[in-house]
Amino acid sequence: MTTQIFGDFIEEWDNDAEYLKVSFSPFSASLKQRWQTNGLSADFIGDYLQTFFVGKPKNPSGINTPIPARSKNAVKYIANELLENAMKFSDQVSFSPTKIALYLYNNQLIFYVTNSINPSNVDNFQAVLRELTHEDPHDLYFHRMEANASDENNTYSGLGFLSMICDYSAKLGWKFETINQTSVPIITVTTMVSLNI
Amino acid sequence: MVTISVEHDKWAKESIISGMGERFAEIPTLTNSISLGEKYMEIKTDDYHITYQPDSASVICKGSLLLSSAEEYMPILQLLNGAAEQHNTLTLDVKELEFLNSSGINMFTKFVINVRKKPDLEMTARGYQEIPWQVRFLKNLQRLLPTLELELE
Repeated sequence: MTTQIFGDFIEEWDNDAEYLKVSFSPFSASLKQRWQTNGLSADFIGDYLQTFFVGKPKNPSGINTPIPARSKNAVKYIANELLENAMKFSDQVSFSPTKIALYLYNNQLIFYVTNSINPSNVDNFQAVLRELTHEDPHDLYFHRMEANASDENNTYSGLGFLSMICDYSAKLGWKFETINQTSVPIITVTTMVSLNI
Repeated sequence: MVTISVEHDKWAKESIISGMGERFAEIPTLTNSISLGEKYMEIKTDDYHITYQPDSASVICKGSLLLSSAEEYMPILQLLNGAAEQHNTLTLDVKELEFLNSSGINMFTKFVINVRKKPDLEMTARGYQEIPWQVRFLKNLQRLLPTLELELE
C-alpha cells in the first residue's frame, strides 16, 4: 500500500477520546437520492457532540473571531461539508464504504472522513490541495470566491475546505492510500479536520 | 418537490417576472408550477423558503440550504439578481436561515459580486449577532461588497 500525505494530517488515535464512527455502505442509488443523508447525518453528529459540550464555557465570539468550535453549527457544517465531498467524489465502481469518525479530546475535536476516489480525479484534487497548503488561505478564500463568480465549471474549487480554515480556524490534512490487493487498485482519501475547543 | 410561485404587484415589470419564470421553467429539476399573482415571489420547498417582497424591497431567506451544486442554486440566484434589478435599495434578510453549505456561500458571493457592478444599488444584510456563523458569513460578504450595510440584531 502506498501513502501520500498533504497538510497537517494527524493519524487516528482513539485512546483517551470519546469517539463516534459511522460507515455508509456503497450503493447504487443516485447522488441526488443520497444527498439528503448528508444533512441528516451532520445533524445527528452535531446533536451527539453537543451532549459533551453542555456545561463547558463557550468559546468567545465576536464580530471578527472565528466561529466557535463548540457551537452546534460548527460541528454540523464541517461534518456536512466532509460528507458532501465524500459523496460527490467517491468512486462508485470501487464499492468502498464512506466512513466518518470523530474523536473528542480535552481540547481538540478531530474529524476523519474516508472515501474512495476515482484514479482519474486524483491529480486534479492533489493540485487543489497543494495550492491550499502552500498559499495564504485567507487570500485564497476570497480569490476563489471571485474566480467562482465567473467560472461556472469550477469543480475542484476547494471553497468548502477554505471556509473551514478561515471561518472555523480548522487545521486540515489529507492522506491518500492506494490498496493493491485487488485486481484493480483502489485509491482512498482520508480528509482530517482538527478544531481546538 | 419544489414549488415556485411568482406574485407581483401591478407596478412590477411583467417582462422581468415572466422572463424569470421562463428561466425557472427550463430547469429540469423543478416543477413547472409558476403562477403570476399579486404581491411577492417565492421559492418554497420542504427545507427552505426564499421570498422576494417588492413592497419592502427585501429578500428573506428561511430554513436550511444544502443544495448540491451551482445549478441547483440557480433559481435562488436568479431571484436575488432579479430583485436587485428592481430597486435602488435592497435588504437581504438571513435571520431565519438555519444552515448554509459552501455551495450556498458560493451562490451568495456570486450575487454580491453582481451587486458590485450596480453602484447605484444600496444593499443591507440582516442577521443575528448571537449566531456566529451568520455574523461571519455577512462579514465575508461585506469584504466582497464594502458598501454592504450590516444590521445584526
